[in-house]
Amino acid sequence: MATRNLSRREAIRLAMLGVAGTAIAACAPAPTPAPPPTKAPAPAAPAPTQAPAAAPKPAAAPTATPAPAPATPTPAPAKPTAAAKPATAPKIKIEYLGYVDDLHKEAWSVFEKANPNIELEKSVVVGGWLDILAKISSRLAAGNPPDLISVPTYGQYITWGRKGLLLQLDDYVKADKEFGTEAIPKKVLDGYRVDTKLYGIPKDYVAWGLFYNVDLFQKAGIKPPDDTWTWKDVVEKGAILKKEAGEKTVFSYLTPMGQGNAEGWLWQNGGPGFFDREKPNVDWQTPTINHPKNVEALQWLADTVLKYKLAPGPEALKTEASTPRMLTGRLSMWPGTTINTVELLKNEDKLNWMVTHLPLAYQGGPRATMTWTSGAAIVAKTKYKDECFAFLKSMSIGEGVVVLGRSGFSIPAGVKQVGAFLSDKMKRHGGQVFLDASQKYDIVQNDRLGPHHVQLLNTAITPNMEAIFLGRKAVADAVKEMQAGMEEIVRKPED
Amino acid sequence: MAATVRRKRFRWRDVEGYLFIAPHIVGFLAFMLLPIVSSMYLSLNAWDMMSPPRFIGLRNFQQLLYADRLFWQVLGNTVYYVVLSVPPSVVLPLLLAVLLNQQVRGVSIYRAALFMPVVTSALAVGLAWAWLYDGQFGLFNYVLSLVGIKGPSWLSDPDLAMPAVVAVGVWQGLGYNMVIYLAGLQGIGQHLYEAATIDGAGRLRQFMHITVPLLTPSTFFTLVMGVIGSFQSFGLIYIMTNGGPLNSTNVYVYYLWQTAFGSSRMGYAAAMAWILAVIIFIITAIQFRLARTWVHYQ
Repeated sequence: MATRNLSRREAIRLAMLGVAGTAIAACAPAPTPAPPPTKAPAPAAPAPTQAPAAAPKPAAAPTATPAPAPATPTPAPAKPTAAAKPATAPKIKIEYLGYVDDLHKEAWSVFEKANPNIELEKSVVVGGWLDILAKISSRLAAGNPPDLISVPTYGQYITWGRKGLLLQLDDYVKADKEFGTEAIPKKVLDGYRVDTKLYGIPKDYVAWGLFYNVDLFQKAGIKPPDDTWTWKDVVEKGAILKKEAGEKTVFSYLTPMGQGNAEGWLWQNGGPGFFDREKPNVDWQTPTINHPKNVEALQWLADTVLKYKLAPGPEALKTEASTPRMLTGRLSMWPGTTINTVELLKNEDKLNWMVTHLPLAYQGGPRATMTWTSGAAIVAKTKYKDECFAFLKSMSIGEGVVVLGRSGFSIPAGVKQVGAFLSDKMKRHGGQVFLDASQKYDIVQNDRLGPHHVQLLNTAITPNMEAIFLGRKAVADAVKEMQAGMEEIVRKPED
Repeated sequence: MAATVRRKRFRWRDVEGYLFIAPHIVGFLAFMLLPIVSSMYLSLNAWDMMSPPRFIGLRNFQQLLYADRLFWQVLGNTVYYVVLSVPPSVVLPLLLAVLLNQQVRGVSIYRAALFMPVVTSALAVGLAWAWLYDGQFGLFNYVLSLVGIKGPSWLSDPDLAMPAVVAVGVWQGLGYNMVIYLAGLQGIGQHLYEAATIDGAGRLRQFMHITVPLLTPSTFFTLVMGVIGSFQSFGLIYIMTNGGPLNSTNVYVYYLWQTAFGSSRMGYAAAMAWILAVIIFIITAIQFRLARTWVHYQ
C-alpha cells in the first residue's frame, strides 16, 4: 500500500479539525439520565401555591418518591424511615450544600444508615455563612441547584422563598403524622416562615447562659452567681474578681459585642433591639436601635469594657480568643451559648465550671435570650422531594438531630428530641438553664434582621458596634449612625 | 484602465490563520467581551440573580454617588491603599533587581526565593502573615518584646490594619516587579557604564544617570500595573481583615463582592465595577500622557 508523509501544514490542519470536532461533540447535550429503576411512580409534590387538598403523601410513605409520576402509587412496606428502599436498589444521590463539619457528618450518617438507598453528597463551602449563602445563590441562579441547602432565617433565604425557589413545606408538615403541630416549638418553626409560608425546617437552636469558673469564685470568697443576679452584681463582684497581671490578667467578664450576641442584652433592659420582633408580623422596615432602653443597655455593655475594664476589648480578643482564656482560668464568668459547652465538656478535668441564668438588667426586668437557629430547605427543582423531606425530618425531629443535642452543641428543634441535650454531664453543670431560657424566658428571639440582614450588618451595624467597643465613638453617636444607616438600607427601593 | 475586480479565491491558508487564533478569539468573546457587555447592561438594572433583571436606568449610579455613604469611605480606603502600596512596589524591586544583577554565587537562588511569594496563593500568604502579625503569639511582637517594646494589635487597630495589609501586598508583589527590572537591566549596554567610569562617574551617579533613566520603560510598566492591581486588591483583605476593623480596610473590590454576593445586588455591583473601570481608565490615561515627559526609550 502506498504511503505518504503528511506535511507539517496538513498535520496541523487535521489536528485542528480533530480538535474542532471533539469540541463540537463535547458541546452536545448530555443524554438525559434514566430515572432510577426502582423509583416508584408517585404523585408529584405540590407546587408552593398548591392548596392543602393537593397535599402529597407524607414522606413516611416510601412510595411517595419523586418525579416521573404516572400511575397509581404503589403501597409500600413500612420501613425504618420514610424514604428508605430495599438496600439492593441503586442509590439515589442527594446533594447537600451548606454548613459541614464532623459533628454534622456524624448526625447525617444516622440518616444515611436508616436510608441505605440514599447517598448524601456533601458539598462543602469554605468560609462562613456569607460564603455559604453566596454559593447557594450562585447555584440557584445558574439553574444548577443542589437538592438540599443549609438555611438561616434571614437574608437571601427570604428571597429564595418569595421567588418560589424553595419547596413550600406546609403541606408536607401537615400531612406527616410524626410532625403534627407540636413537634417543633411554634416560635422556632415560625422563624422559617416567609410571608406565612414555611420553606425551611429548623434543626436546632442555641440559648444563652452565664458560665462561671467555680474555683475563682471560691478563691475570691464570692457566692457564685444565681438567678437573682443583676447587671449591678456583675460590676460589683466583677471588680473583686478581676486580677490585673498583664497578659495573664484574669478578666471577670466577657462582653457580648456583635449584633447577634449583644441584642439579648438590649431586650433584657426592656429595649426592642434592632427591630421590634415581638410585634406581630414585623415588617423589617422600621429599625428601633435608637430606642433609649437600647442605648442604655449598649452603654452598660461598653462600660464593662471601657470604664470598669472587667472584660477584654475587641483588640485583646483578637489577640487571644475567649476559649483559651476560659480553659486556662483567666475568665471568672462569661455569657455564652450551648456551643461553648462542647469544649467545656471535653475539658472537664481542666476547668471546674458551671452555668446559670443570665443576670437581669434590673430586679424585675424581663428575662431574655437570643436564640440562633439554622435549618435546611429543599430546593423546589429537586427530583427527590420526599427523600429530602425525610432528611429534614431526621435532622429536626429524628435521630440525626439527637446527635447534635447529645454533643451539647445545640438544642434539637424537635420537642421530643430536646431531652438528648440534657445529658448527665450537662445536668451536673447546670445545663438545664439553657432549656429554661429557651422555653420559659419572657423574650426568646433569634438574630434575624429581615431580607437585608447581611447588608445591614456589613454597612450599618458591625462597624458602629466595633467603634463603640474600641472606644472610637460614643454610644449615642454610634446608635445615631446605625439608625440612619439602617433606615437608608431598608427604605430605599429594591435594586 | 478599467479596474478589474477579481473575486478572491478561497485559500486554506487564510482559514488556518483564523483557526490558529480561534481559541484566543473564542476565549476573548466568551470570557471578556460578553461579561463586559453583560455587566454594562446589568449596571442599568436591578438584579438579585433570582428573577429577571429590571431596567432602572441610571439609578444604581445615582445611588452610589449620592446616597451610599460607605461607597465614598471605601473609595477613600482604596486610594489610601494605592498611595501606600505603589511607591514601595516600584522602588524596592528596583533596588533588589540591581542587587541581584550582580555576578555573585547563588544569585539564581536569591531570585527564586524572592519570586516565590508571587506564585504562592493569597490564601496561604494571608494566613501566614496573620500569624506573624498576631498580637500575642506573632513573630513581630515577639521581636519587639525582646527590645522591651509592647507590640500593637496590628490587624485590629483601625490605624494600623491598612498599612499592615499593604506591607503584605508589597512583599508579595516584589518578585514580579523585580523580574521586570532584571529584564530591563539586562538590556542596558555595558559600554554606557564603561564610558561613565572613564569619565569619572561613581556607582551612585551611574545608577542615577544611566540605570534609572534607561529603566524608565520598566518603571512605567510596574507603575501602571501597580496602580491597576492596587485598585483591584481583594484577596489579602478577604483573608486577613474582612474589611475591618471599623471598615478601615474595606476596599473597593471587597465592598463590590459583599454587595454582589452578600446582598445579591448584582446590578448595583455591576455599576460599582463600571465606576472602578472608569477611574482606572482615567488614571491610566493620565499616566500614559505624563509618560511622554519622563519615560525614555533607547
